[in-house]
Amino acid sequence: MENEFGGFSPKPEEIKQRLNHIADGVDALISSLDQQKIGILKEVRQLSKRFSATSKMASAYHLNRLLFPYTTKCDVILQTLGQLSDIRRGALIVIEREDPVDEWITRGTPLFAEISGELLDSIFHVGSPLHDGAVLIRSDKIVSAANILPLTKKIYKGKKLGTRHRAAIGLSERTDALVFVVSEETGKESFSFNGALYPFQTISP
Amino acid sequence: MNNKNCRDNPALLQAEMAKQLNRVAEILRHGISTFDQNDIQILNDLEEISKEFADLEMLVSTYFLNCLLTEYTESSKELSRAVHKLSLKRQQALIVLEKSDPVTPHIQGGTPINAQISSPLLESIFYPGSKLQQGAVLIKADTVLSAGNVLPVTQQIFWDRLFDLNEASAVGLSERCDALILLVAANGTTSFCLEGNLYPFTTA
Repeated sequence: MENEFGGFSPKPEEIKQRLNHIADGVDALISSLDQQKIGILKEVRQLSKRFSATSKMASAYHLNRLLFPYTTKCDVILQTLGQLSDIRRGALIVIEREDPVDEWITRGTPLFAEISGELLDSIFHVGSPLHDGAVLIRSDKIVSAANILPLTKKIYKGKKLGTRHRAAIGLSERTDALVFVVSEETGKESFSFNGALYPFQTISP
Repeated sequence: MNNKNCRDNPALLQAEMAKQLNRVAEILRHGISTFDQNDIQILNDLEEISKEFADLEMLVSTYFLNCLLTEYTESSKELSRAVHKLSLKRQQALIVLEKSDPVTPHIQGGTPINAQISSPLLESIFYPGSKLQQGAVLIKADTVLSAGNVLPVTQQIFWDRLFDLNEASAVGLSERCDALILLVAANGTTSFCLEGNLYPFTTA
């Protein structure tokens, strides 16, 4: 297992240990359920907070694991996604890994720009000429923006899936790229990898 | 989920909590046992657990709020109705219920009202653009004592959300006395504040 991700990455042993602690907490809570005191509410709240922090660590760990060899700007990208999510700004970001994605996408505007939160934010500003489509990141550069991705044809029962999410899944079915999506409706962050969509949460700075 | 029945029945609440907690424990154990395979599938498990936790918090806090309200006022039904309506109409509101500690030393600038509690009164006080809309309503027992009160703001910083003056005021006052504070946010979500802690609840 790789462990030198550079930058900030939580240790898997620590995450596992925290999850075990929370599981113990849940068990303890179940056995103390018969006392109807407001203290229970506080315990539920605390457990839920601890869980949410650990869940963010797990997201950060897995994303660093998947991205570290391909870009050193993982921190900046994740931080920007968190900010876009806070303001419910829709976004679609492709991180190229081994497979070239060029043959699968309809090319947008070439940028070859340095990665920065400010640039990503202004690209995804609603009404900006580049906001419709995907940003493509290769190693430490924003190669292009407003790229059109292939859509997945999969049918998801009982789940509404917008074009942005379909595009993310579509590209990850065809390549090993990792595609980030921020939903415009809910602000929820997810990423698509190997044709499956995973929810995640970023650690707030 | 039988949220509605749980509200007044401790046994049902307990059963429902046990059910949800066991579900959380089950998914957690699954996540832990597969953890070393380094599979990103665990992110789906974690998402599911956070949903369960959110449900659980809502369930428990709604139950306790209903118990609490009856300790503070005899007009708890009317008050619940008012909060529900305010939430449906997304009217921001801040309501302080005084218990044994006097609240007046901590607050300022209010307009005396001394009226009977009624949902229409509270709705019109918190109507957008109303002169009393800013600030908090103070209630003791069955009387709306005053409105437009300015509360002390907490020094705590909440990293997980944007600063909200009503939230900070509610927390600030509840750190200083045993008052119960009800909040309706601009997006219609409702929460209550007790002893410096903010708890979301549902009025549905």
